[in-house]
Amino acid sequence: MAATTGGRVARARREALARLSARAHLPLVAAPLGGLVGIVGCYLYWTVSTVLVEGLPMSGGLVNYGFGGVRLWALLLAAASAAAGAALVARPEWRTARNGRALVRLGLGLGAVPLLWVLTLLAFLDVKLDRIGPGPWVTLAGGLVVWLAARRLLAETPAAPPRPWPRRSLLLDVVVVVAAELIGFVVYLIGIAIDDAGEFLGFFIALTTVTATLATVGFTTGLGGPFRRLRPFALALLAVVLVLFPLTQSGNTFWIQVTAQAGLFVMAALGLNIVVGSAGLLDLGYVAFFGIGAYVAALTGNALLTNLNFHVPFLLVLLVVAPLTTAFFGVLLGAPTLRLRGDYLAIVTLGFGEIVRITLNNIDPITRGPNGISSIPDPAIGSFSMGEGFTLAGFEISGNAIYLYLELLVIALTLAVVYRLNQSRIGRAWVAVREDEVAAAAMGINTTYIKLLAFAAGAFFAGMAGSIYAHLLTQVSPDSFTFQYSVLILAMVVLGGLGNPPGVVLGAIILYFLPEKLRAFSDIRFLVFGFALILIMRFRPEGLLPEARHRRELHASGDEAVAETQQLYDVQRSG
Amino acid sequence: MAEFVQQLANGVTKGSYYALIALGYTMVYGIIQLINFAHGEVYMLGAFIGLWTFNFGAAHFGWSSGSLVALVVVMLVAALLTPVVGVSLERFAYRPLRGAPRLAPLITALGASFALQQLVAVFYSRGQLQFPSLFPDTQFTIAGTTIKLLWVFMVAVALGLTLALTTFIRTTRPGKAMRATAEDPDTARLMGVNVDQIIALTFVIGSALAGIGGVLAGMYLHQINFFMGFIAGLKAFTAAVLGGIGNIAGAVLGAYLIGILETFGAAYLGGQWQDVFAFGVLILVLVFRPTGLLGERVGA
Repeated sequence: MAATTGGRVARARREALARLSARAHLPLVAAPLGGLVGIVGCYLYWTVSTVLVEGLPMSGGLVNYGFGGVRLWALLLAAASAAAGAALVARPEWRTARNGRALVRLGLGLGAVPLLWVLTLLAFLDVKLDRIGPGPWVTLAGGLVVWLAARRLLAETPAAPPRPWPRRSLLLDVVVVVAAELIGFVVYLIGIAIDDAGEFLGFFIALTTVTATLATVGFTTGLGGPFRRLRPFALALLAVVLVLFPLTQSGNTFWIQVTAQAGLFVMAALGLNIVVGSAGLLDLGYVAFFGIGAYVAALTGNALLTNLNFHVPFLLVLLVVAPLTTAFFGVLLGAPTLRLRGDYLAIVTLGFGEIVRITLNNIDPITRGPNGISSIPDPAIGSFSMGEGFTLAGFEISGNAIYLYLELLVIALTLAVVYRLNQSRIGRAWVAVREDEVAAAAMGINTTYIKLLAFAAGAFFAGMAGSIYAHLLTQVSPDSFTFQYSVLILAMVVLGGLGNPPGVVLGAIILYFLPEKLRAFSDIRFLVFGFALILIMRFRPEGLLPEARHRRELHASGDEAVAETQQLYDVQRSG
Repeated sequence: MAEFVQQLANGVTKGSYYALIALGYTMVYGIIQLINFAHGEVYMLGAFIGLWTFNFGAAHFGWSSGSLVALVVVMLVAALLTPVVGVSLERFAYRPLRGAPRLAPLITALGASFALQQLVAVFYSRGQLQFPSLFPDTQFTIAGTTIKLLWVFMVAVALGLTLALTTFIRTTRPGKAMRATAEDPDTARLMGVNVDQIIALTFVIGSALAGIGGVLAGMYLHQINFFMGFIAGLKAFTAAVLGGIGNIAGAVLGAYLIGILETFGAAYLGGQWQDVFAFGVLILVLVFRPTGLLGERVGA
């Protein structure tokens, strides 16, 4: 039957191409030309005066000579568009709908870089329109041409859905895995190294565009093959790369610190993902658990400025005291409310989050009220203080790096637990409750108990994250645990892909680093979050890296559906 | 005793603008089973539109605070512009997701709430803004209790609008269509009701009421900020749940109860616990009587 499908697909493609070539000469030529126009734009002046922008946060992106800055990233996309367009000219059999969509994405990204650059200059930096040179406009025009041409090229040629690359040889698989992880690592280092907000914006658009394009042509699905076959190796290599990361920062601890903080949000997001993603319970007060965990660690951590002080060894707090406390609060909140309908639950959790924050603010004898607890020392594990750092074989490992390593261990543990849970009876019960609570109950699942378990598990991991937070930031105060942070963590889960742990990790990293990098626009970051939530839910509700089940549920179209209907037809005909 | 009556009067006044917000929550929930998180922001926008209108009038027509013309115009403009926001939300954020899993529109509503708040914060002001007292500053004392004329006015507006809304839903054709849609959208559609239009109408009415509530709250509190819709919206939602969500009379009853409970709570337990009190009530209601005091039902 597979042969029949293949034959049918090939025949349909030949017919569609015949139709296409009759009417598609202009767009076919226009696509690579648009890319060339984009390249030309990158070599033209982008601003008329360098003096004008000196000292502004985007100045690095505005130099008039040479490359660097935002134009490098536009150039990258322009070259990719030109190359992809030329490839479609040269190889008719590549003109599939999927490749057309990939080219559409390249064109959009190419246009987006100069457009956003101009808009940010005009909106935030008070640069007048007449100070902007011809460069961005030409590049924008090039992007538009590529985009329009690619849309015209979108032939309805059925293409088989992308598949994971099959095994050719072990060596090839190893090379692919190593290359992919190293490229990812280098991209991360480049992203960290770009200080200028405007240039980073260009880098980020280019990265997003390239990733989206590769995903569209099936590259990311293909990568799944080698990675699945070599999972232990890939994970071990990832661990090595992450452990080596602090060594690349040559004594500058800032981004190690930021990465360590991002790690806390990764942990929190993974916990929330159990509640929202796996069990489908919208928790809008999740940061309360994070906060309780942080306060538990602060109160037991020998802080200098505190009202209560009883010391408990850090490892005990991290692994037992804090998570069990938060899990207890999770049960406390969940027990009376989980029998409610889902949307009531959302509002009750929101109320709970506020109650916790206000309570922390008001019980001065214990929490020192709005001042919070501060001067929390680095925890000591045995005789070793985590903050001190040490030198190993000539490499300096800073205190922040040790926090990072600790988090990596905890995240690895969390991921292991989460994966085991998801494949267990409990995980399947969560999904069942999420999909249809009545049906799940009818199948004998004790829904209240299973939802309570999700709540407790989510709170448990938030407690762990919170207890590291207190020591890493050295202070806790109620202001750090407002509703906005609940929304931030939720946005991480939703952006990454509800229910899919790797997606959630990605979402947390993106949403933590973007604001750090775009500090020049920090005023509008929550505005962007708001719109982002709306747009994601509207256009990609399954997130960046969707859970397979979610994707099928939300998008019953695209290649997969095409292939499925074809199989259906085949079955009908053969039967 | 005088203290007690005074607190009661304060609570009833607060309850009035909670009621105007709660009506929107309860109507929207009744008709599409969505907690419109952004509804509190519509109320906040009502207050900002009111302030903006007053400033415009003061600059161009020489309005001063206490002028009744200004009061009427400000309330009208707020009631006319907030529905634009409400309907846009419905059209662009909620309608495309009507068939999606229930988590999706909830998250969208949350995003919309955030976006509206931040739009005001970024493009208007992040600070506390003085709201003019548009109402004559008359007050009288009965048996040791001070009552401001504004408070009486607020209660009158809230109850008057509730009565008008009830009549509208009970007697007019669109009102009947609204009840039909709330009961069963598919059947309503088969009976010739334009369901999309009716849902939009629900948002129009709810937003207009919240907009007027925003202006009243501005006059009562004298200060407005971009964050005011969050807590007020939560309390109004609590009120709607307390009364029985989907139930118009219940929403108003719940709002007055919340206003009174909260004022007493703040007076006798300390103001810093005021918000905890409202949320505590919410949790207790949901645990012990999730259908609310008057039960969930639709229509008046």
